[in-house]
Amino acid sequence: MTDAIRIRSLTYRTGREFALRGLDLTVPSGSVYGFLGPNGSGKTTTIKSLMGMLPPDDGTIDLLGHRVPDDVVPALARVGYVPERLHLYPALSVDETMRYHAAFYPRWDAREGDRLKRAFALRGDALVGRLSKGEAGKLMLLLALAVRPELLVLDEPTDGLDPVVRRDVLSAIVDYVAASKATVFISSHLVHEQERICDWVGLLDDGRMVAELPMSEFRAGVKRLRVRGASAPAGAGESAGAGLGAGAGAGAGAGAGATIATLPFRVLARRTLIGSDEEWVVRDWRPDMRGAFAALLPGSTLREVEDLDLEDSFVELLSAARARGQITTDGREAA
Amino acid sequence: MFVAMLRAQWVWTRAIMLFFLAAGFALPVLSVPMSARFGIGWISANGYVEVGGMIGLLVAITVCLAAVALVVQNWSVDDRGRHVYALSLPIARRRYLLYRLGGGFLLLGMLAVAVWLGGAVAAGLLELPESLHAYPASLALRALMAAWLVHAIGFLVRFGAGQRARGVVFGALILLFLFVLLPAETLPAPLTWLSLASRALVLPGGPFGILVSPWSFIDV
Amino acid sequence: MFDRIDPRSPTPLYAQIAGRLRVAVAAGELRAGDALPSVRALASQLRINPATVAQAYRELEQDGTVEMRQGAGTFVSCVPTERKRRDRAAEARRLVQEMLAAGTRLGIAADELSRALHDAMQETRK
Repeated sequence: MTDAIRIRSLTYRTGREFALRGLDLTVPSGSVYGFLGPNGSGKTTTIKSLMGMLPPDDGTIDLLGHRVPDDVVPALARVGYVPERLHLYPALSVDETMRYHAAFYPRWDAREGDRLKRAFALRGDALVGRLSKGEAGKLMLLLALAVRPELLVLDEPTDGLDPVVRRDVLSAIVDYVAASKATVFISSHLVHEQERICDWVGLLDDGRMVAELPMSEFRAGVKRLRVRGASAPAGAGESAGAGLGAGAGAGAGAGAGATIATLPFRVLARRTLIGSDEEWVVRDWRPDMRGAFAALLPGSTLREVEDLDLEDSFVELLSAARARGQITTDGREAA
Repeated sequence: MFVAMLRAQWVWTRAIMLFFLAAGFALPVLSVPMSARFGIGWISANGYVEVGGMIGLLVAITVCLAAVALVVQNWSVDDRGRHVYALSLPIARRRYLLYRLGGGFLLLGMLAVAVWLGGAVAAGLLELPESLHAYPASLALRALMAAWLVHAIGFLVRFGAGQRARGVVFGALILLFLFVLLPAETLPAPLTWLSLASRALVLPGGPFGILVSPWSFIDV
Repeated sequence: MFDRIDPRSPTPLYAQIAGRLRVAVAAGELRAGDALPSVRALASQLRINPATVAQAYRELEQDGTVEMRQGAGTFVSCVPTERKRRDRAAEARRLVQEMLAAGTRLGIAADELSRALHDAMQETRK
């Protein structure tokens, strides 16, 4: 099964700024892929490039097997797209818009369109320019769903919507996935929503992919540890976080013996708690590491392993990635 | 897809089009009351030709304005949404532009028909001397060709570049054409600096010939 | 029924759903022969990935709580009384462990909790 979306080394520049730097992204067919990242990280730029609207400066994009932007048109016929802002013609009515849209998509399902129109309580004669934010969002989703796409590309579909409309939108998306086995690519910063419906997660920061893996692995692998007596000195390498000093270089510090760098899990952050207790946030954790902890770090004890929710994991990963950027790249401004 | 685009275009264009259609029909008809003011038999052949020339000029201006208005409006509708909608649809950009241009041509064709109908009505009502004739079909055809030409140029400029500078150049060209070139060529006038300048700028026989050769509705 | 489903909890979502349904059957809330909502309907209602719901249903089918009939849907099986008793006991144990863990975190001893539970039970009996 080919991937629905395959992006390799995508680079995009606006003026002198790099909006995307060598981005690698893979969306497996049939997955619900949550594209997370802070504002300004390049999510919308990625989506616009994916849809063939922005020509890449470097790298390749394959959408449903078609090379973008050269061969994007046949792929677009199988994609349902909801952009960040209302893109429809304000002078047309809801019915006129549906009729217009239908003419471009051979797979348009008129009955489904009408069913969604009723479900979303949209009036056919209402002008698009007069719709409320929620109604406009619902109409855009209606159009995307009624073309029976193989892939849904949604850019912040629930941003700025009230909770009732948000539920309607999410239910409609989930319902479509259940019925059609379509692939969904949702970009959002509403992490808790993503946590419910996505089975893959891709975290973007500053134009680069920080992490991309199945949601269950992500949740299982990112943990908060309570460590007592951690005598491991402030080694460098993968560690980052408060108290580890800006002086740490890219290699192991003097006398550290690269202890932290050789651990099977990655330490994202270390914080001192009361006494000799420390809080570590780690990724790539596996349950068997609990038993082996004492052997890995002699002198220290693992008191507790706690789960982090997606939002906290997301924040920790981002902080670590940014701090790493600060440490490993000289001369460049921090992200 | 073309029909859908045309249907959508009509929705946001019909107000403007109805105005221009009314004008296109009314202008030739105006030649009737205009010539009647001079009274039957009192007006010389030259008078009728003058009226015809005036009408022709007005029709020319109207039709060219309509062509420009359509380009501007079509562009602004897509531009307001930053062209996201047009670019996200599964249609090649070239085909999309061709359909837009075709839609504009069709609407301008309607305008030419209105001019022809108005001219036909006027021709029926006018009482012309033996030597003169009204040319509704010729006027309408000239209107059509001119409108299409202006629309195509405007379209190429506006949709081709998308830069503000081009828009300004485009606007200036149109103004120059409407208020300098056309009057100079259409109205029977003595050799003024206007007509000299226009002759210098435009080749009568070439592609722009249709725009500047006499637009007179009434002629020998 | 599913208003407590929490993606932030350490328990995977599918396990939460399966657990909730198992308890509902064990406590008599759902009876043998009752139809469960379709995967599509439940996923849409809860706004969670359909694969998660499907996994929950599969787990319930594997331990005999429900049976999936081709074309008809998913129905609650006839679960033996002994099984139901065990499931109820397991859920009780889970609730107690949650309480104990919270107590440890806050510094409330187990016997203090036990006393509070005893008192609360006396209250409800009145």
